Amino acid sequence: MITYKLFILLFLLYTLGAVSPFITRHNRWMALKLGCLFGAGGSLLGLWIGIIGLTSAGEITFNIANILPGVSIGIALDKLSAFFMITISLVALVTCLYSIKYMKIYSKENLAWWSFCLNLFILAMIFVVTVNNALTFLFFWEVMTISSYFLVTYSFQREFVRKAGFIYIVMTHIGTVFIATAFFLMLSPSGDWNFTSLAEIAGTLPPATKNLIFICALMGFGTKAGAVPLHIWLPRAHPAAPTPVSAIMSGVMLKTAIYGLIRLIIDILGIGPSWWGGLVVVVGLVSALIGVISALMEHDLKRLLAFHSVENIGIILMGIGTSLVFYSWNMSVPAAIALAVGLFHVLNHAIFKSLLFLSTASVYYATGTKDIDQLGGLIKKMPYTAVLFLIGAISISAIPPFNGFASEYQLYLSMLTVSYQDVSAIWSVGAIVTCAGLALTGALAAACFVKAFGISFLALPRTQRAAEAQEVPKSMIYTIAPLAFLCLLLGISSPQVMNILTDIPLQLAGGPQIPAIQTYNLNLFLALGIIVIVLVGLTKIMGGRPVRKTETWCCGIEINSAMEYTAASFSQPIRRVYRPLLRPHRSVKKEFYSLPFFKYKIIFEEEVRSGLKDFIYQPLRANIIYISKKWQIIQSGNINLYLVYIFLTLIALLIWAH
Amino acid sequence: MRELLITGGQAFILLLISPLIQGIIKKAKARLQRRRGPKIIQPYHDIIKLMRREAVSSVNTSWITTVVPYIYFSAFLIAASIIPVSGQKGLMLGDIIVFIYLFALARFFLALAALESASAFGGMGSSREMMIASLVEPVFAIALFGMVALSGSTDFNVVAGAGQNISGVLAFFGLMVVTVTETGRIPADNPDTHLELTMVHEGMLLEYSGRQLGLLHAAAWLKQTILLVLLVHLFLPAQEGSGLWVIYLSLFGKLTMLGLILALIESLTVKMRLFRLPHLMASGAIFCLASVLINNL
Repeated sequence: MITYKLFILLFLLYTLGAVSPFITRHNRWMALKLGCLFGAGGSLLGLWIGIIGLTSAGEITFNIANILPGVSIGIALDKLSAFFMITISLVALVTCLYSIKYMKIYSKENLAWWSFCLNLFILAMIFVVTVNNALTFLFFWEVMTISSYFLVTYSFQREFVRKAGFIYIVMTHIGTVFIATAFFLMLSPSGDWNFTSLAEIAGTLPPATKNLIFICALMGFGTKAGAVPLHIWLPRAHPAAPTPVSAIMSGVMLKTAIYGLIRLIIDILGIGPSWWGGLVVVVGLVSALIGVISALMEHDLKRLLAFHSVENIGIILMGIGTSLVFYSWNMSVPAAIALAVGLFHVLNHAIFKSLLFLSTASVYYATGTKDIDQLGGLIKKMPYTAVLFLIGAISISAIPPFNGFASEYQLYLSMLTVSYQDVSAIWSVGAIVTCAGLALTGALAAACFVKAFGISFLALPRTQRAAEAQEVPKSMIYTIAPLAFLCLLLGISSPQVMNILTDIPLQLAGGPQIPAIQTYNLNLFLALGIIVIVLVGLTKIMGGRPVRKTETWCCGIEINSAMEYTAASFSQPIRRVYRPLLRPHRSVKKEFYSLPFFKYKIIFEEEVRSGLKDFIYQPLRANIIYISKKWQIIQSGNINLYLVYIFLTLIALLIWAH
Repeated sequence: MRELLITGGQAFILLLISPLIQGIIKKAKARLQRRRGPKIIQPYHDIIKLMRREAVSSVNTSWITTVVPYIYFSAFLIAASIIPVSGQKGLMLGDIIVFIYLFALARFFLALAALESASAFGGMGSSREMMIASLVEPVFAIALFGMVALSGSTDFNVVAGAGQNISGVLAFFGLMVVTVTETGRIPADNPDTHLELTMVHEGMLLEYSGRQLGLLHAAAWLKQTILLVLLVHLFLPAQEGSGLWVIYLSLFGKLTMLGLILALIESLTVKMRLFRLPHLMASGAIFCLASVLINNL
């Protein structure tokens, strides 16, 4: 009962957060503060409810309101929902508090509208992961999409923002069509949309229909999650939105699709043949590789981070796919562990990605640019932000003992467990090759973040703006510092976290108790710490002269920032090695004073071309336009004709129903 | 306490002998090229000399440059203690996956430090190192995970001697490619040159001096020894139940032998162009994949 009251309170807080800014809209700061603080309060309650849900043994269910006869907003808070609720609330809480200061750079814009959309967006996400009914699920899914669309197009004066918003809304709606189809296929004749009754129907369906539902779910949720090749909206939409919104979208909105996938496949549809899991793993691996390699080519910090979301969604899908494979072999213990690994990475990615996005926001706040090549030397000007970004970078690059490594480590173990089984050589070899793919992803991610951190924070500033940067206000640092701390904490306490998370699949699919999981992270952390401290101590005791500082030797001339490696030059070897995948295209133009020796200037351009655009989306678009043109014949523009169409359709439907 | 002694002792012993292995390789290489070469114990002299020298670093650097030598060294010291050379139970510091990622940890920080001085040499080394890493890590992973799949555990104790079969021969070649590349030797990199066209690892160390450079050199030699110890552990482990002295002496003998092989490879081949490296790594990957396939058929 207390959960019910808390939930109503949460609903009220977000509603207040959405509405109150309009009342005080003449005072911009008041509007922003109210919106953010109410949002933060709601998120705090969300965390509380989530913890209640995760610790209680059974499912907590209650009704909030009856909206239509037979359709009510019912909440079913099981451990899976509670887990996602905690993840969403955590990121939302930090982002709301951070935005109070950060959004001041948007002072000329309509902050009340922003607060309204943000609160509605968070509320919709919380409903998406808690409702117990497919119809309300789809409803809140739409609310989530549309409110985030308005957040993406917040700076609509710029053309690329409008374009990004358009692609975003088109792609997610195509996804929604697939999700809705998946639900329709399981609908009973009586039209009961409850998840439990859908599950009953799903149990009686023939395998072919089940396969169709699975493919629809993968396509639909894959679009929202940003799985390759359906991810094209993601690297456009995330950079277009104000950065706190990107943090929420990348950190948690993508995860609602992961929630949907788990709920629909494992909870409702039930376990299918093992190729389902195999397909999910392959999609995950391809997403991870394409995501990380595209990220390496980016110079814009936000686009780079957006592509890393594609990568991490891939890693999460690999965990879920592995778990589906185990479930199809009736091995519920490794299956539960693999699913918990996927969820662990959901949490980890939410934390380090929002940390990275928000510290990028701090960089933008201080310098006014997100272009890596315009930055440099920020570690001296913004020491705290630099540390926060570095911790995020270490975590996302899967460097031990931080949290990104903790979940990837468990994922390796899960996939290697596949290779221990004597099912068939394909699975064993496939599992090892997938592990190698994950290792490649990790190495490329590390390369990418050496670039992102090294070029923008280290060495000499490349522009005036970077040279004049100042550390952001304390409150912005304090609000995101807990995320950095969580990165380390989740890394070294990964056995405890995994033990909590393995309860989720047990509640969903049953199975025996999972044995306690052990990792090396804590020992590793202690050992690293002790050795470094001993070494530093030894250096101090042995004395020796202090390190002398002097100019960098540069063959006799004075060093300047133009000599430094840039983001493009850093990634050049990788661009060249992975040429078949990236298809770099360069053009060199020379202008001469007098041919052929005296050059006036050389213009060099290099870009990578997305094969997806050329080979999938362009032909697809051309075909759709072609078919639409043919279809135009029946569109005369005459209203009488359209009335005839409606009439004919009605008659056809009547005959069909008869 | 006993575990601490076993683990710490092993790390210490490997740390102590690693300059000697380096000295042996250098000497062997020199003899193969009909030079007399430096003394075998020259690396010890180098380290001691560097440790006494004053360190100089660029004004552009920050705390990263200061802490990286310590982190780099610690990562490899821990990696050195993970492989159970003596076959006895030590501290639980890691398994094969942790082992691979300790290399990644060290590399990440060194690549960052290389960017700090604002000189293009450091950037070049850093960028090339990360490119090479992206080629090496998958091969390393397939080779080791092939062994893991064969023995059913990622624990180093279980995997000991997993390569003693037909598929192991193939995996050995694959791991040899990894070892040559990771230790920065010809044909992947040249440890003896400071020429910007070729340098990778040396490029990253260029701005370091004095005790910081000493620490980094010691760590790099330790890394080389660890990779050789890994080969020994997988393909030629000591017999179970041997005494500690026997184990360490035979280990030293095997390491010397592998070191001689490295020297031979270095003398017989030429440095590859940087962008030919994918071919080398692809051949390594094919060896490892073939070994995995044989295991599963």
